This record gives sequence, C-alpha cells and structure tokens, in this order.
Amino acid sequence: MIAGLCAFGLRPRATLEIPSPTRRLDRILELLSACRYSFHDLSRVQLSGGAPRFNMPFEVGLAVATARWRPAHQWFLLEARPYRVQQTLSDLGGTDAYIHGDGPRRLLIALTDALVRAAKQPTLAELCRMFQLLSAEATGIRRNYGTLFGARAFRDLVVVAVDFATRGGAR
Amino acid sequence: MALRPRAVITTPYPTPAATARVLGVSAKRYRELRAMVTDALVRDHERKAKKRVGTRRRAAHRA
Repeated sequence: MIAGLCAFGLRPRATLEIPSPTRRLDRILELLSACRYSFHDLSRVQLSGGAPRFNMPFEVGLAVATARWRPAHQWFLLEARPYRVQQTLSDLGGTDAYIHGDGPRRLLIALTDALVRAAKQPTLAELCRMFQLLSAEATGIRRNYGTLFGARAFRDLVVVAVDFATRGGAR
Repeated sequence: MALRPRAVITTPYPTPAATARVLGVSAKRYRELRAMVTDALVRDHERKAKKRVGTRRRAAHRA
C-alpha cells in the first residue's frame, strides 16, 4: 500500500505513526481532517489475543463522518474477499470495496482502479517494480526495528518510498 | 453497487526531504535512508544491465 500510494505521488500517513502518549482518537481525527484521501482495509480486522480489533471499522466510520462535513475528503474501502463487506458492514450498503485478495499485485491493481494521476498515470509494471524495490529495503528496516508495524519503521518506509518515486525508481 | 469515481491526483510528487520533515525523521536517519535508496537503485541498475547483456548474448548465440 505504501509503495502504491507513493508511486501515485501521495504521502501516506497512518495511525501507526501516532506516538503512544498522544490521545489516539484526537490524532486519528487530526490525520483524517488533514488528508485528502483515506484508505481503510477491512481485511485487517483480525483477532488479537482471541478478541477482534475494531479499530479499522471504527476509523471507516470516522472517515465517512469526515467526508460528510468536508466533502473534499474521499475515503476508499479495501477488502480481501468480494461481497464480505455486505456481511460484515452492511451499513455501508451501496459502497463497493476494492478487492485485493490479500495479494500485493491485486492491491496495486485496486489502487489503479481507485486513483488516477492527472499528469502521468503510473503503470502496473511501475507499481510492481516500486513494490519490489521497497520490499527489498523493508527487510533492512525490519531488522533495524524488529518490526515493520511501528512508528519509526513506518516513517522510514514512507521516506524511502517517496525517494524511490521521485528518483524514478518506479520507472 | 458501483465503485466510486476515481480520485484525480493533481498535486506534484512530494520531495523526500519534505516528507522526512513532516514525519519527524531526524536529519541523520534521513541521510541514511537516502544512501539506502541510492545503493538500491545502483544495485538494481547493475542487475538490469547484467540481464540485458545475458539476453543479448543468448540472442547473438541463437543467430
């Protein structure tokens, strides 16, 4: 997702980057109102210690509300499996999710369905190359921090991805 | 149900320096990350060049 968004010239932000002392909800709302687009992957609702994590659907709700009072905000729903949203979040009936099948290639295809760059649309081959380059560097970043799912690792990944995108790494 | 219309991005590509500033990456780490990207692109370029030479050699051999 980071590779794809950066290849489109966006600068991803994530709740991951929110430091723990800050009140999380305030920072999520700040991020949502500061960003033009938000992407919510409902397939990430997984069990943690036997209990489901509801952060993602909650954040979709916040994005929907944000878009109500600030129509310039656009939110996108992603899911691994088709038609699952209709079962799990029927309140969003009428909104199709972009299906990625839990695979990077299909996720990148989903992004090309959702986004278009006015000047030059990155091709799927460019997006895949960007993903490969970033994945290779992610190994080192993971080794450095012990995980990719932390604030510092996320920041590093975004800076590296933006750098690849601006230096023509995706081309 | 229909997918929403695609979002049209008109903003220029963000620079890595501005991105690092926004995300609060230290200057030292930023330099390390830039070096990492440079190395990766050099490696990738070399790999591609090797592949091109191999393809050309195989084509010449077949001819």
